[in-house]
Amino acid sequence: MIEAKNVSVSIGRKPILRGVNASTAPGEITAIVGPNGSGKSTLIKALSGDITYSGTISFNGRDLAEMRTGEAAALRAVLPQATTLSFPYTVHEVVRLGLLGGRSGAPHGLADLPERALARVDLAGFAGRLYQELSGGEQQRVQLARVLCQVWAPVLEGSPRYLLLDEPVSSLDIKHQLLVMRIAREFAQQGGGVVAVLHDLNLMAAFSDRAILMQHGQSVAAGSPQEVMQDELLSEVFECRLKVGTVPTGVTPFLLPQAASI
Amino acid sequence: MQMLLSRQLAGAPEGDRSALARLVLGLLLLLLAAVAGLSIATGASDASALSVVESWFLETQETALSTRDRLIIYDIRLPRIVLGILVGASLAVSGALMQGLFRNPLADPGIIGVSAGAGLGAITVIVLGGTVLGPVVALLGIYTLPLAAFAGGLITTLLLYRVATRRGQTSVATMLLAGIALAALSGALSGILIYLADDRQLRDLTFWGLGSLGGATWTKIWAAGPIILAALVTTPFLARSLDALSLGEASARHLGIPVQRMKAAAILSVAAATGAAVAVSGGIGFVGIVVPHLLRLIIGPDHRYLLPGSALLGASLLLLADAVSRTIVAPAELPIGIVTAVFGAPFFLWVLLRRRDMLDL
Repeated sequence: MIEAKNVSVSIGRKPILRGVNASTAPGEITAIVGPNGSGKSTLIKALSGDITYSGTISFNGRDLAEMRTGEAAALRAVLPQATTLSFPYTVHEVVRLGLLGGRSGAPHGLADLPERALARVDLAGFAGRLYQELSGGEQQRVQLARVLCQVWAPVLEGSPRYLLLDEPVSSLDIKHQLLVMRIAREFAQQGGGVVAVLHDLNLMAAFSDRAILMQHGQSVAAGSPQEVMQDELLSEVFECRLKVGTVPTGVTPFLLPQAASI
Repeated sequence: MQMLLSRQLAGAPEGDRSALARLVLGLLLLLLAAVAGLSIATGASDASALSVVESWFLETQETALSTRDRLIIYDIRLPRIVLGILVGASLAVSGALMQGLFRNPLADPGIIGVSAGAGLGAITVIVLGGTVLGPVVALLGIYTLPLAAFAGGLITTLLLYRVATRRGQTSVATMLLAGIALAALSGALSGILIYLADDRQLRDLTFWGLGSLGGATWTKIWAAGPIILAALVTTPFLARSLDALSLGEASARHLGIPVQRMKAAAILSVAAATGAAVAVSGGIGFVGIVVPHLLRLIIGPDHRYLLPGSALLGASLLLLADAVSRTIVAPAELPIGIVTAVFGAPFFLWVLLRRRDMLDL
């Protein structure tokens, strides 16, 4: 369980997050959605321990502020929006960095874990390539493979572990968007927890178990995708008229840009 | 060629250059042994290293000749080689460390003013050691000079890091410009001190400032050696952290690296190694940029191999440069700093040319 209580963040005098309460349970994908500048990325940075915040954040009941970097690294892995490297590392060398913490929890040894992680993100055969020569979407999946190596086992010694993903699908084509969201879902189904900043409300509706809707640094709604995907709520938060539809055979709501107007 | 070699070292996973890197480390060790052997066997006098080695094993009668040879080998050539190895290793490792720390292949203690800061520390001791700083010299003895250079290098590195790094990102432009400013400031302060110096001090300063291994003595080695070795012994523990740091500070922390502590250790090591090297050999430039760059082309940037490789290759190249400096205008001697600059500066320009688009200046 990750719990954020009354979390506020200011950069200079400008408040970015104002008293956010949020929680996510193991076994679930929690999506953070909202317009640009609403504080989504700042919230995930606070959860990752990257910025100073007031309030409390706890992982499995342990206060994040009191954890050492190594302890935190055994509990959660973080995928940043984009990563550039200053030196010519191969893809294998980048993915292998995920094993640094030594708490992967892979059942069959670590030797071939980078290769398995790469295969999982559809980059089998890329191990020998230079990271700097890959496309943005490929680089993002290499980083996901590294992050998966860090917390390969979603549950280690009885405690659930977490993936914190900052816009994990932002530079991916649709096939790989689906692939990455499925990896997140498998991680959750095996007992881990996933928190992801998402821009695409349809991916949120299709894959997440819970959604946190952010506006002006506050959480204005939290609940199932169906509860968050409401015409009035979304229209108000995103400042344009939106009409939520529903797939005839199911409960998954969707948005068509064609049905929206400013 | 690299691909070919990687393929030949079958068995390792694709993209894993560890086996190749270990092979290269072995070859570099052989290279250093060969270069050191060559250096000890050649010199201005015709002293024969072979006869000295022979005398270790054969209980021959000590003749006047072999005593002279023994003196030349033990007290002139050997200290020079040991100092060359120490200085070359510390310059190259400082470069590699600094590049990893700043996440930038152009960072080098010589280029961004750390050597100049260390030089200021050394000059301060040379000029003021007899008067104002007399008690300090009395307290620290032979370690005064390397420690002062270490302090100068440390202050410069800290200032540079503070100015050039914001929110964990180092700007290349700011780093280079701040380096120019700090080098100019160190140069100006050194100038004032040189202006104050008397004749004897001026001679010391000139000799020191040319950048040379010529004045190598066992005393100098005992003064700088422990500091350099302490810095070099720390570096392997920083290797994995530097690899993680290449992902950025936040990502390194997410992987469990105590980033602040590790950065402090790296800055201390760079300042210690650079300071001690500058104190005993003056300004020898470009080793720190050429050596790690060459190695990255062959074994990649993995710091577990890059750091020891830099030490070995840096030592070998400096011994070679010293051999050139001793023989090219024999029987006179060219300052080694000139030799490294003649080869290093064009190399640096070539690196710039290749990476122009990545520099974002």
